Amino acid sequence: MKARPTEASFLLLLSSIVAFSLPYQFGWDLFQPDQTVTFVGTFVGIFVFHFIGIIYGASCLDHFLNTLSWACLHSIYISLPLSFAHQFSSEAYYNIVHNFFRPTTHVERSVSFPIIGATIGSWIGALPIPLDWDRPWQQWPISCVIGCVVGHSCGVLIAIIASRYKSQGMHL
Amino acid sequence: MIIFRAHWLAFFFLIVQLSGLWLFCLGFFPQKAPLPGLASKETDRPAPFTPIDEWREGKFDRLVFMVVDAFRAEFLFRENSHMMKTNQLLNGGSGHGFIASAAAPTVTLPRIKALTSGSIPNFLDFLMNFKSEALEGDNWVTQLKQAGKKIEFYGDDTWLKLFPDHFIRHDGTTSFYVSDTVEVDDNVTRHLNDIFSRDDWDVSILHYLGLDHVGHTGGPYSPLMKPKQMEMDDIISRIYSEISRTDASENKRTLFVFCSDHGMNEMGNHGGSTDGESQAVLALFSPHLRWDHQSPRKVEQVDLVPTLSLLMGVAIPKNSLGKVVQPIFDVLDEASQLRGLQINCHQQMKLMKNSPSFWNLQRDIPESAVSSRLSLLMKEAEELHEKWVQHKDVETFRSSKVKYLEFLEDMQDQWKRTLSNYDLPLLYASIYLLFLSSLGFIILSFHKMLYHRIVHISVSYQQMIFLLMIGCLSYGSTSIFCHEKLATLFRISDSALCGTSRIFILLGGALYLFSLTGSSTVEEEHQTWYFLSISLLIIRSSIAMHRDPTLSTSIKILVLLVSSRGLRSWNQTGNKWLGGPDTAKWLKEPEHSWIMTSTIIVSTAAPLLYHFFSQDDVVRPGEEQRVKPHRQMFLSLCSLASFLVALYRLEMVEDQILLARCIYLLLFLMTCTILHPLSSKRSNLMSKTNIERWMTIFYLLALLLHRTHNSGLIFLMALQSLAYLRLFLRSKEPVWLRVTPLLWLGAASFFTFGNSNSVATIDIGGAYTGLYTYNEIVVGSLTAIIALTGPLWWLLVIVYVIIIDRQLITKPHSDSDLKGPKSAFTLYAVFTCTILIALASVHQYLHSSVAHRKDQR
Repeated sequence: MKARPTEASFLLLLSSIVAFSLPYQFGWDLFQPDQTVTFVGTFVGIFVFHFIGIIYGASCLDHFLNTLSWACLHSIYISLPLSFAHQFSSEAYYNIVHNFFRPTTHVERSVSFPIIGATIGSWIGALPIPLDWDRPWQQWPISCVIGCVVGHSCGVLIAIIASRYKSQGMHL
Repeated sequence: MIIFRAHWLAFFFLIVQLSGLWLFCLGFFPQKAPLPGLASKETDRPAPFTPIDEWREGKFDRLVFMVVDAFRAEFLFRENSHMMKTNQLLNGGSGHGFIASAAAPTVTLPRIKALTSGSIPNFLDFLMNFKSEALEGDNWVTQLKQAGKKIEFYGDDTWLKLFPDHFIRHDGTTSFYVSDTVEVDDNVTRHLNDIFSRDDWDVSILHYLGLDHVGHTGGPYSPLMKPKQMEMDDIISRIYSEISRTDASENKRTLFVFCSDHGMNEMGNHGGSTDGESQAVLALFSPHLRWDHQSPRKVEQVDLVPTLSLLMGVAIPKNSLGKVVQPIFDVLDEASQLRGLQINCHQQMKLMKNSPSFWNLQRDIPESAVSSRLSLLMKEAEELHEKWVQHKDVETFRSSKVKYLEFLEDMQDQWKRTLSNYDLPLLYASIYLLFLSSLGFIILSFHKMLYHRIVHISVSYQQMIFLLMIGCLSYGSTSIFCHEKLATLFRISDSALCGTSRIFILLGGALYLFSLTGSSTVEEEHQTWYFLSISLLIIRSSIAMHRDPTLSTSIKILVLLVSSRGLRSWNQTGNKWLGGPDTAKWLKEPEHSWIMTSTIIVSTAAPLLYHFFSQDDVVRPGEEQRVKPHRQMFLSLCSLASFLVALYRLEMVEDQILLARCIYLLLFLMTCTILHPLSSKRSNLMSKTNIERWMTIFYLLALLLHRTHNSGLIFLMALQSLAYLRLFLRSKEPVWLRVTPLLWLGAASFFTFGNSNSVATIDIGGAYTGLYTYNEIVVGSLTAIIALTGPLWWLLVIVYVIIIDRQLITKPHSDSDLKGPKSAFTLYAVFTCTILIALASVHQYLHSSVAHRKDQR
């Protein structure tokens, strides 16, 4: 069966948005997220990440779907939680990018660590692409996706561990 | 005074570093001493086992030696080759073709030396490529002349410099006009009629340059390639038929050799050791011998030398490392075959007995197990040979031949191995010096008075490069991270503001250093730099966006990022994707010529537009009037120069050379308006306006020198730097943070012009711009400018940033007395950076030669 990366990632995207908006649907006002902001943020994120992918050297025309699915994945892992937790606050984005050693609350940690992990993972995943090993997984964007997923999981893990040992942020 | 002392100390360490590098080069490229004098047939050959030597006379008495420059073996041997007549001759058995592998450096002069003397020249010969002196070692041209043969030569005048007074008739053509692909060859071909109507010659050498010129201008798939190959094909078949005719009528035996000095890579350049460059062609034709047609075998280029020497009946040159091309000899009688092998083996044996790494010269015994094995092999072969002379049985013949060939094969392997031997004591000494100087730089960086930041940056950059070279990476990283004092080296004033950037710069630098340890990552170094610089730019952009979230900032960021991406895909380089699609190839397609034209017009108009809309910096209020005439003067000269550059690029004027000279003159006049006392009295030589003017002059010079398809690239680079300056010039971050991305962009821009760590990618086409005759110094410096356009441009941008920074910190009124030492500082900074760039390129070329050596093993 032919792999369909784009369809798969769109499906993933939709299901994640639904999953994230579930608390809202049931009236669990845990974070009071604005559904529209989350949706728009994730959607815009796809374009932003596609653009970044091209800036990093992905071809504009060839492998369009590969780049798009990579962008979708990143949008789900990065834009979605960002817009969910921080809406469009550039101050919050800046703090995550440039002060990432000092998140104070559980929410900040659980949002920022996986994001940072996904970014760094994807960045490291891009390193082997130009090497001449001629392995199938060097195909763009497979190694980036692997790196992204692994980095994200590591981020989640670190966030959980960090929350255990830091008690000052127990209140939300 | 202390400032100056620190200065001189830094200068001293620089000298130490340079001498260390020089020693390194000496140790890395050991010079081998060749045997002096000419070999002679009588004394240097072993006594024959038969009453008469089979090779007392050669098998041929005339030779036509035809070299086609840069002819890839693949052009002849691929499926639908354009060389139909030549292939017909080969298939018919009148000739025998081989793929001759040429050792690096694959440039003409070392290759001709290898083809005639049989020695494998070392890498330093590449530097001497442009400066050819008479060949002193033993070679077959001199041998033939000694044997009383009359030699004539037509073609590349490198031969005339290598072999002065060897030729009875000659007509040299220079390889000077690279764009000329017709005249150079017609100059040779017109002599063919003469050659075959006369009978007073014995050897005639022809060197065709046209194919190389086609390659340099359009690559191996250029539309000019097919007609050029068909022309060569016609010439080969013509020479062959003329030989058959004259041989029959004059009762002579003529050998016709067709070969190339080297191949070309996918870009049409050569110098490295990729398959395309190193696979040259070698084919022997004769109407008197019939060979069975075989698929082309691989031989070494130097193997031609003993083969040719034997066939022409002269002694094998003393320093030849070649082994006879046995398939050629297979059609000869058995006695000749064995005797030929014996002569060749004997010559190799003699060479081995004179080489200290194989033979103990004092006691005349083998130095190593290898050499004693080899001499034993030789002895066995000779015994079998002698036995065969008495009994003449097939079995002994075969085993003797196998033994001889085994010896030659093994010997050649051993020679190749010794060529990559290093002079270890010298290498250790050089590493010690490098270590000393980088240590000195580190200590110097603690010096308070050496406060100028650019020195700090260059010092830390140097540390980064050389700390790795001496294996001190761990020291470097731990000291930078842990040692508080070394961290002040970066003058971190606001660590919260530059946290991510700082960490990224340090990690990125470490990653780059790590990438230098792998040969494939060195080949693809441009990928490292593109990746790192884009990442840094994205991080910096996010900061800029946060600082000033306006539309104009986002537009600048967009321009910066998009132009970086455009630069990246302009020229493919490296190894893996060298032939892949890129903007330059796209622009070169005929149907996109209008886009090419518009990029030329846009890029030549850009500096004018910039200068018309920018403001001069006014030194003091009320003095605008005095500055103005110079501005006008500069602008009018600039517009004229831009116009002429556009004309030059569009090739609209008949006399391109004269036009180029006019542009040189205009650029010189523009320099004069900067240097003129009236303009430099009030403002510094390195003021903001003046540095912009320097950049304009450099920009126009780059447009003039680079290939037409790179005009847009130069424009994009200027656009990128403009966007960067607009974004970060006046930000209140420490200078090193503003300058480091520029250093990285400079490193990346070296590769955007299609350069790589291989010397083969140096573009020499533009180095002859505006020249009528070859001039070593001019061509050398223009080549340097072409190769280093990107780094030099970003160096100017760095100087610009530093100057603006200084103007922001100190008011121009108060420090008139400080100007002297400060401009001295600036000049020193420029000097340091230039040296740095030179060092960086030297280290890159070292790396490329490492790659070559790896290939050779």
